[in-house]
Amino acid sequence: MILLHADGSRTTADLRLLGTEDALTGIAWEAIGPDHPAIDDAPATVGLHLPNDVDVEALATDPTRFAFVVLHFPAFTDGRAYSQARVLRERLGYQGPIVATGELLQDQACYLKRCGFDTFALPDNEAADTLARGFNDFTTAYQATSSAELPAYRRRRAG
Amino acid sequence: MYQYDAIDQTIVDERVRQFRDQTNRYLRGELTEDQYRPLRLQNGLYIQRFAPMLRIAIPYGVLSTRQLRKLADIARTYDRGYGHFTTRQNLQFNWPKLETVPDLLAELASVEMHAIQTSGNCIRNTTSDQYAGVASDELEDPRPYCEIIRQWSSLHPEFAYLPRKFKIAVTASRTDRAAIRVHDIGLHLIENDEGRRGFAVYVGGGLGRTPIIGTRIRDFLEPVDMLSYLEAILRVYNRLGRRDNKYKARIKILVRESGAERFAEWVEAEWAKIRTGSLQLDDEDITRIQAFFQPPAYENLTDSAETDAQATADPAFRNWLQRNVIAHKQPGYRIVTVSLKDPGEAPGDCTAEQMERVAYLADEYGFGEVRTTHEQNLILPDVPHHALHAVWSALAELGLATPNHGMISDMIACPGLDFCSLANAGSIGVAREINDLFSDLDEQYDLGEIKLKMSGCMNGCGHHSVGHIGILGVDKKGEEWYQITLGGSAAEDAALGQRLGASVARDDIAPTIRKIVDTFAELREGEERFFDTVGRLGIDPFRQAVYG
Repeated sequence: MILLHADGSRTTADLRLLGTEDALTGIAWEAIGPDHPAIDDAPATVGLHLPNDVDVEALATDPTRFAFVVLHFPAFTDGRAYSQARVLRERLGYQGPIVATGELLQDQACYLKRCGFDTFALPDNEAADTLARGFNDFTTAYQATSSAELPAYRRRRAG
Repeated sequence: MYQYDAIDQTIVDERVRQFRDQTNRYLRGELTEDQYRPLRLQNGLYIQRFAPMLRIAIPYGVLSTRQLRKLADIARTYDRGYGHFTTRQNLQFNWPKLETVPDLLAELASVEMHAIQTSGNCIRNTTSDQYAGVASDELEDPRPYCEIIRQWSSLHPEFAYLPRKFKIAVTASRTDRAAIRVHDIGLHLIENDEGRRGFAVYVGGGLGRTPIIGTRIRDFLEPVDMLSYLEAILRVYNRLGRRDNKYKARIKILVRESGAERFAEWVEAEWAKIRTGSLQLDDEDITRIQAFFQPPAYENLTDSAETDAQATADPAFRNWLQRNVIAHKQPGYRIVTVSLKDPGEAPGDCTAEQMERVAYLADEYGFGEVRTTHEQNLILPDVPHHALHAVWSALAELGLATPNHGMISDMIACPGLDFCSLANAGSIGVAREINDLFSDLDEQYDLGEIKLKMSGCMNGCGHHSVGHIGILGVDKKGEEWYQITLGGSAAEDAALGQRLGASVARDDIAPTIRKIVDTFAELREGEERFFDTVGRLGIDPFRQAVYG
């Protein structure tokens, strides 16, 4: 699996969901689900995998203490994880990697980045090439999101 | 009107480039049909019965004459010389070729227009009062707020893949000409007891197969809080709206299933967390946009005695004045409805030549601005009283002066089975037959205001559920049948029509409408409107008359 980062760089990693495995293996890109029994003493290298219907503010555990957070797109037309990412970044102040998994099209790349995703899990280098092409679709935006601190109406006033 | 700056132009240009790439990838086979569909829909492109249909955004129904001329130009170059104005104040072209759509969009971008979010499960074109800024009964011009919403909602990264489409309407008059209570969100600018202006917020209205009248979830919202409150509603909807069944995915179902009170609590809780962030507008942010909508350089005019004399002399002109011309904020000016309801044409259709001639009139007898209405007409917003006869003559020559505004023949209709792949039944032919049965204008005037609205399927693009008379096309074993509802309204007295009874066959629909209207004429008290007669007596007498 290729992990494409927002700056275009890539790493190869095995992103696995624990709970389907026997033990924590300590590989950096392993994640556990919110109902995993070991959630409270998961090693610092383990990430948190959140289905897109959970409220990130109502978790029993603090999501920001995880090495990374995985948010999922079961279909690219299901946009719930965009809201989760923004709340994680902008409200809970999470600064670690937010990883997008699932159906990711290059046409979403700008939206994903602007909502706070900075890592994209893709099957191969070709898929990573394709998604990366979408990073530059838009060079500006109206809204303030995690990647732009000021909305257009504030930037205009600043001149 | 609003003028693009570098930010607006860059966004629109980059969207054209992105869409060109998406279309090329699709044509090369790199995007599947399923992947391309949501992408093209977010840019207003449908694949229809005969050809693609492209829907172009006309933000809150305001067009410059330069833009209207460009639309005429596009109609000739890319289509068959005409376009169709819709119930969302937009324009549809029914015959463009898929390969040429990116070029067409680039032409639009050259006049500060686009097709962004005119379809798809995202925030659609914000609609408003067609008389905004010139209405004599408005509290304030709602267009600056619409423009602020347009910018906030355009390519909003979080809300591009909602459970379902999302429509916002804004009005600032007591008379609701924007149908705000049948929108996902309706904002009504009001003055509170302390004399402060703000919005009453309605949520969860909508038409389609489950028509619902929106509920007020906040009595008063400061204008500076408008965007944070909208964002809170959208976030709650994006998280909790149903995605398991597309027919239950609109926000109206979430509001109904959770209860409006509980829904409002969720919104308020979310809002409390974002209210004071960068979404909170400053007064300066609002006044900056308001500056684009300042009144034009009106002359000091009084009404013209010559126009009055012409009205006395010519009953046709007089009829038109009475029906299609209304009061203006500014003395000596009038607001003119350009009727796209010629009995021989499909409601809302407009040829390239008509567009150009209307643009000419708006320049000659106005300030270069034209409006579109959700009732599928055009508006010349600033016609001097002394020029009314000249404008009328020019419009009459073009078939645009049918003096029927608000009458039964000023009907709303979707394109129906003739163009739309969703439709179950035709609407254009039915519209013609009904028009034939009410060809006597004097009779129409006697009948007074009757809002007839017709949809070719239960998606309800023709707003049938809120027609005083609603007609819905249904499919019965491959045949076109029609269901009738009475007593609906999309205005400040918003109500859903009640079903009259079993659906009627294609051949019977126009005569049945005739029977309903005859019954009304018998039962009516004085000058009572059709809507009020139905309200007073219920639908039983009409049911009796139709079904015996």
